[in-house]
Amino acid sequence: MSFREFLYKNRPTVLFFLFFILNLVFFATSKLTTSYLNNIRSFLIYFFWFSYKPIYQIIDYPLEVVDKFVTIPYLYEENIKLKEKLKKSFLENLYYKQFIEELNNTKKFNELKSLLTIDITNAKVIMREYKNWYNECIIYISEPQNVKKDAPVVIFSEDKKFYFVGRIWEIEKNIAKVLLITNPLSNIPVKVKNKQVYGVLVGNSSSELTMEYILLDEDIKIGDIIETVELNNLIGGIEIGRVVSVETLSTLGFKKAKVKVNFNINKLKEVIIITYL
Amino acid sequence: MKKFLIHTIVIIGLLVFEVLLFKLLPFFLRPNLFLSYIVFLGLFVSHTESVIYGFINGIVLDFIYLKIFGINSFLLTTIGYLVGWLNKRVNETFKKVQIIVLFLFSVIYFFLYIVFSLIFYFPVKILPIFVFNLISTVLFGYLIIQILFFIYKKNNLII
Repeated sequence: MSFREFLYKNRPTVLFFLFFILNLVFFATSKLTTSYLNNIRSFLIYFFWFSYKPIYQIIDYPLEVVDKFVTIPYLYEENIKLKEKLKKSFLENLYYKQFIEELNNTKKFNELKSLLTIDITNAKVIMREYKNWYNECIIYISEPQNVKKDAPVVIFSEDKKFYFVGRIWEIEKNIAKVLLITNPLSNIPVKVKNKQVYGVLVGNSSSELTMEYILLDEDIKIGDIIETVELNNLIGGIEIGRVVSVETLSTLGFKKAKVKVNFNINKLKEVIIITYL
Repeated sequence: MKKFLIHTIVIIGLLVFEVLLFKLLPFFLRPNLFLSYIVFLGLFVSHTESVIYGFINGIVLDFIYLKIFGINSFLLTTIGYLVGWLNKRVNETFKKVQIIVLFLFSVIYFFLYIVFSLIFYFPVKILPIFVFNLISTVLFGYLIIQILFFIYKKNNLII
């Protein structure tokens, strides 16, 4: 048997030993080979990574779809929980807003109280019926001890002025009904500011009031400011409105003036009750 | 030429399949598909080819999982050489034989792998993971052998 025939007959063994020697060479130069091959590998990955991308997509897409279907019930439950949380947060937000507003109002009221020589107490409008919008309103008084019937109700506007709103009509515990000046049943004595012109202000169920019983020779003009008179349990000098028209009723021997209130009577939220006169 | 082409296609297919399995299966189930391929070549094709393709596949694996260059080529060449001795000596058509051979050579492969890890001081998987890998190699390997048998038979590469 020649050497060639021997090699051919024992091909696997010969190849194995050949590869074994090659592997030994690889191991001997492993540090160098590995680092060089790592560079080539990085280079190839950089240029051919996209060839693997479709394989990943083939697997990822159905898995993602399945995941999406699986997460639907969780999403539904989470959505319900989030809605509840949102509702709760919304209500809490409203509550805190109201609380902060009340706190600010109390602060303002206390500041005002310290500046004034008269006793006052604050109240909150809690109800206004649409049928009696210009006639009455219901208020909640936190300290009702000193509040009596017919006590004047005023507002302190943003322009730092008091405006007369009405009087306490009925009171029961912390709740009181206010007779607004715009109510036809309300008749209060008034005068023109800085003039000795007196009359009676009557409500018309609107923001326009009528000042009656003005004598014919009295000097009243459009634009005159109307204020309360210190009479009949009322405190004087509180502004109400402005004269918008004057009418002479010669047959009755009086003048009649239309008075427009100087404040927004539709926007009654916080009111002040003068408790001590 | 046809033989070489089919071998190349099979190697690329196995690479793709391995990537798929890497994505689909948990970390402890990593079947060694190339080992199954070498076992198939040793049992069904020829001793020489199992040694040659053992070396080539080992180089490919070494290039992909670059730890210490030459380890996979040495292991697969050795497995190819050893499994080649069984060529025409056992009835490879029996499924039991296929499974036993696959299991046996998987054990040898993992044993050699541990020996090499001790020689070259590289971190190895813990024993339970080896066991899971072994089981998954036998399961997937058996499947791979059936597919390869079908392909090689259709192309008249198995006598």
